[in-house]
Amino acid sequence: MEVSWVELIKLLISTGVCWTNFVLIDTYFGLPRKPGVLGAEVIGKTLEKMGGDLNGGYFMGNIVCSPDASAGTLMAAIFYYLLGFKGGLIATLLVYIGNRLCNDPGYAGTFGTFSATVIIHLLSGFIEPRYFIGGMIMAIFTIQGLYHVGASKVLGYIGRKLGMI
Amino acid sequence: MKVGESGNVELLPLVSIFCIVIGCIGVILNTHYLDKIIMLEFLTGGLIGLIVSFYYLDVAILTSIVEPVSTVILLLGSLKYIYIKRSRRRYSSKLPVLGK
Amino acid sequence: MDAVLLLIGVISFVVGLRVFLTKNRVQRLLYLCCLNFAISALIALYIKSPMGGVVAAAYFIGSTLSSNAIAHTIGKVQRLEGRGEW
Repeated sequence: MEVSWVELIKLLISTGVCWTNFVLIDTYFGLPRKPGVLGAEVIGKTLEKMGGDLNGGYFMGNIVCSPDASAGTLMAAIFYYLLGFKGGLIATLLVYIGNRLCNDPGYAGTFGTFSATVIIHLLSGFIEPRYFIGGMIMAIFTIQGLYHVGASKVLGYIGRKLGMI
Repeated sequence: MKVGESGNVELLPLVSIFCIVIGCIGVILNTHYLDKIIMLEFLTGGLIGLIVSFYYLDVAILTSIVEPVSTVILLLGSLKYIYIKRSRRRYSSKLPVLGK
Repeated sequence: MDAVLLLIGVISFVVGLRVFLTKNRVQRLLYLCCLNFAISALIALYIKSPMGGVVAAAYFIGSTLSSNAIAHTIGKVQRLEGRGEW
């Protein structure tokens, strides 16, 4: 087993693309502004008590509590890897059903899945779709798994910079 | 554990067995009921992964659809327990809790 | 086993250990969300057919639904028992 430099560069590029995609779309559709359900409010208040940012905590709670653009990006990568371009449209339908099932009246997941499908289709010439699956896992690890207080501060800073709070 | 053609170990059964063992130890060691339910969720993820790694796909789909229903029933039971404890403390300490 | 599988395996082991070792209940939910992403991706990479995608989507939506229910119950318990514990 050997890991070449080309694979690492492809993984880093796909990580950046996925991170930019879902953070920008979720911020634009107003996830850091208010908590959609009660569980997101609990997560935001707890992260604020630990020293983080309140709006970034709302963002992370909304990711946990309903399938938003992050889940949409992962589903688009999986279905593009298995079925091609029309798999992305099937993933859009599945994420729409999941959004309604989790009591969330928004369109962030649907729009995020569609834009991720278009981006993967445009970049599929020199980056294979399986690298986007690994890149999405790496991107969600930097937000939900590494250091929660710092991640909430970064997300709140981006939301304030775009003027969406 | 399935060994591939090139001598490498497949990764999904390894991760699933790890999740099941750590989840069992966590369910035994934690004492609060919400911690127990969270660790049970962790165990169920590993269980579905182990079912998928032996290619029983229909069983995996049915398990992953039915599993939130059981979690919701457990959580409703715990909320009912808290309500009963509060109402007993407010009215009388000798109130029996047999009915609803 | 190439770079993608190695990366997802290392991340899932690290996150699983952190779920077991953390004491805060809300942080456990966040790590559990990351683990659900990793297992869903591993399922889709293990079974290379369209049925694997259907299994991954069903597992992901079901686990998100139960995480939602657990977070909602934590909020209800906090609201009932006062602000003393998380």
